[in-house]
Amino acid sequence: MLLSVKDLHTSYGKIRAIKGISFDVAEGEIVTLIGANGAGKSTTLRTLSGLESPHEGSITFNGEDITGMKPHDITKKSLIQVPEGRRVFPQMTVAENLDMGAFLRNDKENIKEDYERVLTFFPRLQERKNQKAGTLSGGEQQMLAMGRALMAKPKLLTLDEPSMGLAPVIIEVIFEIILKLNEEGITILLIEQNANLALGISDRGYVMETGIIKLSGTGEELLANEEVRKAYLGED
Amino acid sequence: MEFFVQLLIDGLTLGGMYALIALGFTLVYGILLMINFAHAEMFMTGGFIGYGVLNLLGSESTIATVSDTLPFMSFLQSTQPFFTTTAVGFILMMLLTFGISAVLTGLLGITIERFAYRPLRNSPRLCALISALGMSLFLQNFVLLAVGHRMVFPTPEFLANLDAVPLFGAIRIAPIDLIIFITCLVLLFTLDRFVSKTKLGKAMRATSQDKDAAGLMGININSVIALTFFIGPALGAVAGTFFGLKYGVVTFNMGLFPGIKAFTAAVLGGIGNLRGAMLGGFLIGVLEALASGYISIAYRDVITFAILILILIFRPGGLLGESVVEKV
Amino acid sequence: MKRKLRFILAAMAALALTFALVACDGDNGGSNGDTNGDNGDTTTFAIGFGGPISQGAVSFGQGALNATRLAVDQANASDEARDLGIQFRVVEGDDQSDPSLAPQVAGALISERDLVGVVGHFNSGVTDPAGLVYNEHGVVQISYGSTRPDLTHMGRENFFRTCATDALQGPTAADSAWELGFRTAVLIDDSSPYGEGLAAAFKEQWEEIGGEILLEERTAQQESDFAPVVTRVNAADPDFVFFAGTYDSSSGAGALFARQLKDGGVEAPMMGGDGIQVDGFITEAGPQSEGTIATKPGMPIEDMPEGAAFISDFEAEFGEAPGGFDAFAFDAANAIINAVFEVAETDGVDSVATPAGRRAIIEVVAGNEFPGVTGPVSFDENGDSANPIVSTFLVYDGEWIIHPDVPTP
Repeated sequence: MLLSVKDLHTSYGKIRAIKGISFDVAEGEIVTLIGANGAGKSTTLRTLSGLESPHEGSITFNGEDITGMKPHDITKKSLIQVPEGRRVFPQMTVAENLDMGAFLRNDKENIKEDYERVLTFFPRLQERKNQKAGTLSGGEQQMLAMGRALMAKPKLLTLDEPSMGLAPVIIEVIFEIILKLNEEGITILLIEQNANLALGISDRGYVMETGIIKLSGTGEELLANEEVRKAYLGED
Repeated sequence: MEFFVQLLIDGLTLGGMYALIALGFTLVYGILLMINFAHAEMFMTGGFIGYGVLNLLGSESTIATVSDTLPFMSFLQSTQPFFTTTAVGFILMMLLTFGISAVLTGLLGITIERFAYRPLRNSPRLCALISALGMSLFLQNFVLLAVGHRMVFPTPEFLANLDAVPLFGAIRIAPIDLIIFITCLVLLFTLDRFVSKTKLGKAMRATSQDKDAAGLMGININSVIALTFFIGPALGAVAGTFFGLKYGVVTFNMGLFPGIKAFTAAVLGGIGNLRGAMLGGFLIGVLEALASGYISIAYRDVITFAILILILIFRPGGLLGESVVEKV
Repeated sequence: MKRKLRFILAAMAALALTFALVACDGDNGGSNGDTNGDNGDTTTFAIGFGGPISQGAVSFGQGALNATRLAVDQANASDEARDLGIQFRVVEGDDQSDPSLAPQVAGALISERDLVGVVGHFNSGVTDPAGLVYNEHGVVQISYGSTRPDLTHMGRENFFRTCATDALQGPTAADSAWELGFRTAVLIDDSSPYGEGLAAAFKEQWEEIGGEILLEERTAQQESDFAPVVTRVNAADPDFVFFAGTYDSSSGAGALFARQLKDGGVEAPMMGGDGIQVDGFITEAGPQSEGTIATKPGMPIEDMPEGAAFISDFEAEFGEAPGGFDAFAFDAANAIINAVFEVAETDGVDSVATPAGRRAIIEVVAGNEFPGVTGPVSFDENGDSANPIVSTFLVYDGEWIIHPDVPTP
């Protein structure tokens, strides 16, 4: 297993956001966490990246215990997050944002190569290379946030609601790229409200509800599941 | 015309010092959204350290006293004439004075951040503000008790013997003013390059724009904050040492007025914006000089602050303050 | 658990602080307690000293305090003290040159039940509010250095001063400047009550005798940068610059100004009043102080009959020469001491520290005359020195000397 989460608990002050969840992600997989707002999905990703510290449980990544490590140390292990709301650096140019993605790398040659590769993935960014990131549209910012994460050479890429607030056409492009990245060997852990789309490309999925994992299965199983269809796909 | 140019020179020299101090306010605000009230004391501490180093290198009596208690320091006796009388020695002594003062004050800044601000980072912002006020009072009173309330700053012999530099007409610049102005420009330019071009500088900017995202990039937030708390105080220390050299005296409460002016400069330029702080510093310096030159020094602050208020009415974010991007 | 621990620590800290404060208080109480002494033969009286001791114009405060102590020590060793069974002690009131502290400092001195008089204060702005308190309690106050003219015109019958006022100093300065061949002046004051008073007195006489004022400016005491003013002085090109303000060791405007004038290329000398005639001014302004002229009330004490003894006694006791207004403080203390002796002799020792005794002291001080170190000490009907002399000094070779080109009256 590339990522293995055991009995994880995280709280914000007195509010217990996740209450003992366990799940795994194997190398090469696309895994999705779906669930309603406030189910604890984002908290899970934030805990994985070290932005929140769990008070119980363990996270093992690539055979190493990373529970309670600082964000920058976890990034060093190549577990990279594309945060909710993109969180690009608004006052920095597109090119500088991408540079930041490669902050921990010193292999100048390869960075250059990856930089070109990201720009071929996202031709729109090429055009806006010297524009401040804060002036980009939502879709472009999402592309930039993903491009920035790719600059860090992720083993596991976690994405928090990449489709949020985007037009359907753009969402499609984003998901195509997610699939393409997975084909290139990057393991993906995805959080989505758009369960249909997300489960459609996933190998496996987990359903979260008020801080616990309610259901799990392959993407197809979950898509076929009665409860999931009712709760998340808006069907009666 | 000459009168105007002379006032401009007066203002730019003073403004350069304001700019150096203002950067410390703006750097910290940019990253922690906190007004570091103790920053004015970094300027003061820097001045006192500069006073100590300069005496240690150039004053025979200080060296004699120090050598009595610490015999291994007696080598300073042989270097003293070199430092005080020759041009190379003078430059070297200045570099040492400013360097040591900047580094020590920078380390003090890091220490203060570590013990007075970091534990409060997740508390309401008011707590850190009060901690900063406390730090400011502590440092002032510490210096007052440990060193004294007012120290006469030594003027290096070499500097005292330099003649004023004539520009044109009757306009002349005192050598110290020229040194201050050039040093400020060099430091400001270097800092600007550092922040916009180097990896570490970009990491500072990234951290100020989004701490969480910066952490996800692999940037060690605490190191970046510590770096900020090094650079700001170090620049403040340079200004403090210049203050001593120019005015011939350092006092335990000397940070108060330059501190207020520099903070104003930072706000005027757009707090959080480095170039804004530089611009604001020079602008306040020049405004003050023109106001006191053409009207009266008694009305200087009235005029300066009236202009400041006017500018802030029309540009609440400051001159270079960019439209604030709301975080989601 | 952790929170509880913190609470306990905080509570302990608060307790410790309280004890510390109580202990401080206790100290004061202790010294109060034994003021009247167990020895039935001697009665101790307190002479208050008010002036800047820890902060502010300390060059004018610390030495004056020592001079007061010297006067008290000499009085305690005198035959009169032994015969009458009187001893004096000095109670310090540190006003830090801060007018807002004045009522507090004065109140603390008044609370000494055996207080017979106050020497002080120095800054005119402090002397005034502190004087209100002494006036209310009918205690004699003799200032040694407050030169603002109107202080003696406030209807306070308990107020006297041993130094001359700016009403005399300003005109003398103007006359001296004229004598030195100056015709055009730049006039600058430091916004202090003293500075304004001196500037006005100077200006009146200067214009009267035909001198011209090219520029008038006013700065703040906390100012450190005068570059634009220096630029204006350069443009005005006067014969001399009159700075009506203090060299104040907490703001030092006078010294900073002198330094920046020279650095800015102003050739004309700076002239000032007694506020800058002090060694601290020379130390801080450095070589740039050379050639500065200043007037000061009184004659150089070394030229006075009693002066030599005062200087040598002062040096012997405190290891440094008297400066500033120390001699005026010495005379002020002696005026009080002499009055106490006289009242004790006529009305008895026990009446001295009573309201009636204090009233008697004021009367005696007002009518007394004795030879002091600054010349004969006596007061006119307002309480001003009846023997006002102003001398003109010059910084020469890093020292204040009597200006060779201005005859001392």
